[in-house]
Amino acid sequence: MRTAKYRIVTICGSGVAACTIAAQKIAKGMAERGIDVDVKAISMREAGGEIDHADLFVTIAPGFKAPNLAAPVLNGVAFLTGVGESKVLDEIVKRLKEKG
Amino acid sequence: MDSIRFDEQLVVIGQSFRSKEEVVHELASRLLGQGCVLPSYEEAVLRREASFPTGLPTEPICVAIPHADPEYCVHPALGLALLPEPVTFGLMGDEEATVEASVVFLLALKADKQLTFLTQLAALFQTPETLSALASITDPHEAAAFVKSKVDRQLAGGR
Repeated sequence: MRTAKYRIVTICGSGVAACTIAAQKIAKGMAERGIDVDVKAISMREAGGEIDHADLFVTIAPGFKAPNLAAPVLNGVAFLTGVGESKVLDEIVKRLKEKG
Repeated sequence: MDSIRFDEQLVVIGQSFRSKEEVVHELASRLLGQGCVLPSYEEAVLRREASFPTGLPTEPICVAIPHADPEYCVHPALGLALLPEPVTFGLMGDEEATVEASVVFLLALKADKQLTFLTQLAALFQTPETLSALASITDPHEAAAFVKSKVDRQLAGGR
């Protein structure tokens, strides 16, 4: 496990509500799992420079494509429905660890 | 503090609709009637829904939370429809998949309120027992009181 923080970006339509809820839940879930992360919520419209250095994306906006193939993209609707949240959190941990 | 308007006049129960457009039209007309949104709000909601669908596969029934950008909101308000027959909404975060929503919350919010309100509303529909209890209510006044009791502090009665 590396010492630097992992950077996670959540993406939704407005960049205000849905992806911020997802971001908060991810931050909490990662803290509980002992993973040091920095989570930012952004809108599809802003999806520019902010995302170049992300390690992983969690999207609630349709059609989002990661700018680089090294960063996996996971679906974050579970954080809105409350159904299957911990499964997605575990998947995030797995993907981050794969990155080393 | 200008609170979010929500009362039995903004609640539709037992009415059948053939599509999400019809549900949004009914609820948006009520919000417009109370002066909470601009006349262009309804169209803005449907346009946003086409790019960013809001259907959520919650349990045991699905909900949808259609809304427009904050500039279409005059006074923050919430509309609610409890549907006897679900209508099809696009699945949030997906380009093709759909959900059959039985509970529709139409949101008209300013940017500063969106996050806190949606967080509280999500807590309501993420709790299966609470969502079932809401869906089984047949009286608009009771439904409004129920939602207010779960999403307190921000909701105020209408005129």
